[in-house]
Amino acid sequence: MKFYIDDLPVLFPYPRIYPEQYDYMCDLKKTLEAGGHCVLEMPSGTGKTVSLLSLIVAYQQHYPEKRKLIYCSRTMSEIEKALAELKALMKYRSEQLGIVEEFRGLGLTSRKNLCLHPSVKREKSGAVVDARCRSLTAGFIKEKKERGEDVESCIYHDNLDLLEPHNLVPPGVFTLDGLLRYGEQHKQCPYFSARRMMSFCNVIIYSYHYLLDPKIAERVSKELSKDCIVVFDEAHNIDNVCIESLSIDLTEDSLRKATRGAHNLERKIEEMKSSDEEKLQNEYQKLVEGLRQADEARAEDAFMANPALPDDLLKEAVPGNIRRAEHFVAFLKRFIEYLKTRMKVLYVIQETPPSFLAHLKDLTFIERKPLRFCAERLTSLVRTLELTNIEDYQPLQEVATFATLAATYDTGFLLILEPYESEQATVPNPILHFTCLDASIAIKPVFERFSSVIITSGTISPLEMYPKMLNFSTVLQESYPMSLERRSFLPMIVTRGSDQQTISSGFQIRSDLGVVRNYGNLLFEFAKITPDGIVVFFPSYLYMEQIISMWQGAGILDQIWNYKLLLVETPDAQETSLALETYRTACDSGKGAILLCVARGKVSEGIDFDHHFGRTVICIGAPFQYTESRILKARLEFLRETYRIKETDFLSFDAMRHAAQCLGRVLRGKDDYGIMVLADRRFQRKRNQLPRWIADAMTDAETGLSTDMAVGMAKKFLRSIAQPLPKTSREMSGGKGKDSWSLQDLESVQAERRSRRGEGGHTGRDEDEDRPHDMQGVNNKNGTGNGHVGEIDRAMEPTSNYMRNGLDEFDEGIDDDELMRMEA
Amino acid sequence: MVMSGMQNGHIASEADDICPVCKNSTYLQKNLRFKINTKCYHRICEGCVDRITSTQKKCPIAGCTFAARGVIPRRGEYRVQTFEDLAIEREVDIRKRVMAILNRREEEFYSKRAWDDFLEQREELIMNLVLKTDVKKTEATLSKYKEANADSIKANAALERNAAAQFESRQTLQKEQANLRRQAAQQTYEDDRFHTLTAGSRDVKAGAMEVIHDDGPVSDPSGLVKGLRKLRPPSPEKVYDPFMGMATTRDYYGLQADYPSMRLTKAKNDTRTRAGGFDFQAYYDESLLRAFAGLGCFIDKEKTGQGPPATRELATVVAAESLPGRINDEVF
Repeated sequence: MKFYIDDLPVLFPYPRIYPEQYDYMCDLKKTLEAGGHCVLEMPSGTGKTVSLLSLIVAYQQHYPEKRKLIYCSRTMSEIEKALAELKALMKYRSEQLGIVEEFRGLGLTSRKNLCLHPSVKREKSGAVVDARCRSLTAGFIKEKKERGEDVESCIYHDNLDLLEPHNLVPPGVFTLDGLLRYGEQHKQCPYFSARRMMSFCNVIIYSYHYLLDPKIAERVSKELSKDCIVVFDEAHNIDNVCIESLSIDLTEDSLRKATRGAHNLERKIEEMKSSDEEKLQNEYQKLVEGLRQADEARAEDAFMANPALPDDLLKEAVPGNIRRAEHFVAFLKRFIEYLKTRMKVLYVIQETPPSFLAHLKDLTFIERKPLRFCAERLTSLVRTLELTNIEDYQPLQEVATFATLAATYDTGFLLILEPYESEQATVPNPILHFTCLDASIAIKPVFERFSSVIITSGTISPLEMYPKMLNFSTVLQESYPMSLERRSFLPMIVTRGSDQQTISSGFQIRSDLGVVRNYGNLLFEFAKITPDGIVVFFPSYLYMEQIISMWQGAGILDQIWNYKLLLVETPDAQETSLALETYRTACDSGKGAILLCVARGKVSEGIDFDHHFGRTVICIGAPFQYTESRILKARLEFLRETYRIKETDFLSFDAMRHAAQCLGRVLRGKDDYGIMVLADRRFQRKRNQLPRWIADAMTDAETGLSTDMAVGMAKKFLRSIAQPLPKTSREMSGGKGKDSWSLQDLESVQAERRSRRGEGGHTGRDEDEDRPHDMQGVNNKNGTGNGHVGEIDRAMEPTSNYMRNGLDEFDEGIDDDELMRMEA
Repeated sequence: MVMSGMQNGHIASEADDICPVCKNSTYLQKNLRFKINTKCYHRICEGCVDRITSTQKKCPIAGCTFAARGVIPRRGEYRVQTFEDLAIEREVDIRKRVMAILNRREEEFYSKRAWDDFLEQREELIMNLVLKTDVKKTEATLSKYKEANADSIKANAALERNAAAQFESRQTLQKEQANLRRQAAQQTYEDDRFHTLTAGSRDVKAGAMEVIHDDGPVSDPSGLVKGLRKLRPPSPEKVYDPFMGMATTRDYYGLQADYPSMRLTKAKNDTRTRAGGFDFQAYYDESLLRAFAGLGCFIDKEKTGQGPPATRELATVVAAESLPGRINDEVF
């Protein structure tokens, strides 16, 4: 259908639209016009991707700037889904408009997924594919070939040079599969086609890492212009992605390999000196002049890139003592030897980068300056030496990256040396963790460079935590309720067992027999009444194993077996996928099964249990992180000191986002239904930290339940949901559907809002009056919340309340005025 | 000239280390410790070190060039090894020696390019010594430079030590403060109203030399290092003066020990006043200062710019403050 938001014509590829989709689009448009960042939470399964794409494409096509869209998602399957969605949208647009728009949409993924080379594509590991591809496509290979030398190269890649560089693939949207097929037909490399076409695309869809990981972003995303619209979908874990992309772990083994790499480099330098002295001399000359590597043409096949460096540093020349190749190799060797001596220590060390550098200088006379240039110098050297077997140098590269990061950032990083793997271990196996504590470092360039960054997910509550942690300001943060024709999911908090004993996975009572029995009982009761599949989430593998063995001892498992099949997730990916497959078969066959998994495991992130695959989800215990981990402790301290986020606040936020993620697994659409059980005493107080669409659906009557009460409610719910939806309900609710609107409905809503705006006049926001309930909801949450939630709300006041409520803004104005006068 | 201890580039792992002299191994004797000779970098166990140095023997390793030359190592020349790789160990020792001599600082150089050239030159010299190419020539250059630049070497070494000490103290301070904050956060868990102790993150510029005049780059007395600046040691930091150099002379009166006053007699005899630490002398001083203040000030003179600068700035601030309307206007 086609409708207008203000003056923007939007083509939506479905005949009906959900109210929350419409609101989402309105808010997106506002953000794009205001030019800023926003955080939006939209219930899972309500068509987030399609509303996002149709609004932004409409926006692109309507306004002359044609701002590019960069859509980042988490997994390969999500990328493919988004591409298919985009393709369908563009098809619909061309049908409606009657013309095919000049439009390009491409997805990018790793070489492994996009390779066509007959032997390379058969390699199993991604790193090997990358390395082999590079050895066939590097710039100097081409040069050599032109000189007439006999070198192996990739025909698919070479064919690209025969095409026009700005028109490697025809306009249109290509899914990854489609691109592969096109590449096969035209004998051209899909990976490089996509990468080279990047700057000519209207929509780019790829993984987070292409923007966040500075090592990749430098290469892939450098040429994107400032007015791009960046969207991070499924972004509830974005802070962890940021941190991981800048953290480095070094082991004794990797240091040994790095030493070997350094020795190899030395040998190569010797070889080159005797055969091709000129090249080294050229490189040296360039470094002396302080020139950046000018040959941009080669940037594509550069295998290593620099970690996030401040711009001023990039303009500076490389320090004199590592200008010469042999000096640099000696420098690297000294640094690695130093790290080795550090590894010999038999107690835990926590150190800030400055004190690490001071000690380093004492022992080896390595100064901060050359250390900062380490990664860049290594890249330059590798390029000069024309190395092909690059995977051998990966550990060396890691060390160099570590050196650069440690010398660049004084705060936000911490070195933790753990000599033993666990507390009990007696044989040392030292690991040097160089951990990033500040998630904002990796994402900062993104916020600085792009004017609109949209962070969105199904579960991203509490919204104000993200701007705080990632250190940016939003123009809009919004959470949408889920509009439903009838109650189709039942969230409950169970705090007591049927014997009235409190249940919790808290450390003190988690292995208490009564608690374990009550959990078992809960599962047994739900196994009896739930049709089809049940998914159970535990806080950790350890606890899951412990509780299952105790259930087995108590004979609870034998009871459950009478009703459902039991399957368990393990850390092993293959075992888990087998379990999942069996689970699906069992659900399809009608008996149903129970899948026991872990809240931070693979299953909780990205595997959907729609319809009969998940009718009940039970969260046994609040999924708090293991707080004894030194890295987590350091991060908590950093958050407290830098962003004023209290330890407990962060931990409960983190636990709740994982719990919400687990709950969201079973409800994947409006025609789906399910029961959500949070079984822990501690959930009771954290209710307001759940996403709004879940929290809104949970009335006070559904909290603090005992097992029996919960089972009774679930029975009633299942019985009512089993009835067909009465036809009359739609007519009763005043002609327009409650959960979805046709075009007429939408237009009448729009007219209604417009007329209200006319009356209201001064507020200038159409939704304000339309959603009085929303405001109340937020306020209520403030009121009932425990201490820290109130504080967070105060922090978000300037953005959200200000945006939402004209009246408040006015009141504040008066206050300020009054204050001024009094001071005068 | 290959040294036997360094043939493989690095020594065997510690699991089964064998002393080449007494053939004792760590496998049999767990606490066997090794030391290296700082001349030839041969590695023998501690017991052998004691034996050899007490009887004035040469290095016992076969093929040792130092032993061939008849060099007898002293006890002090044996020490515990820091790095696993003996080549690195030796390189670092050489580096230490050279760095102590060629210790120019970046701010001494006329341009970044000159500084970089110096760094490369130094690296070159070190590598010469490490790889034993042109040792004689390099040593000669070094000693020549050392003689010619004795003063600057000393000064720079002092600066280096200073900076290191300052860094150390700052680190400990920061650590203490972090500890304090941690404790405070734990104690006041509910209402953390604790005052943030902002770490003293001032840059350590103290002690850096000042540039006298820019005559263009010069080279050092021995002619080895080029592109230097002429620098002068910094003047010692002045004591902080809260009155910004304002004279506190009492031109118009002298302060006596005591003044008769009706109002104060009672207070003077009251022990409670004294116990509180009230200083009558200070009170007299201030009263008199106030009474005579302004006697030597001529506003006309100050307006024409002849008054002391400190007071003029002060006057402007005071004048601005006396106009309440204007300041408040600026807020809007």
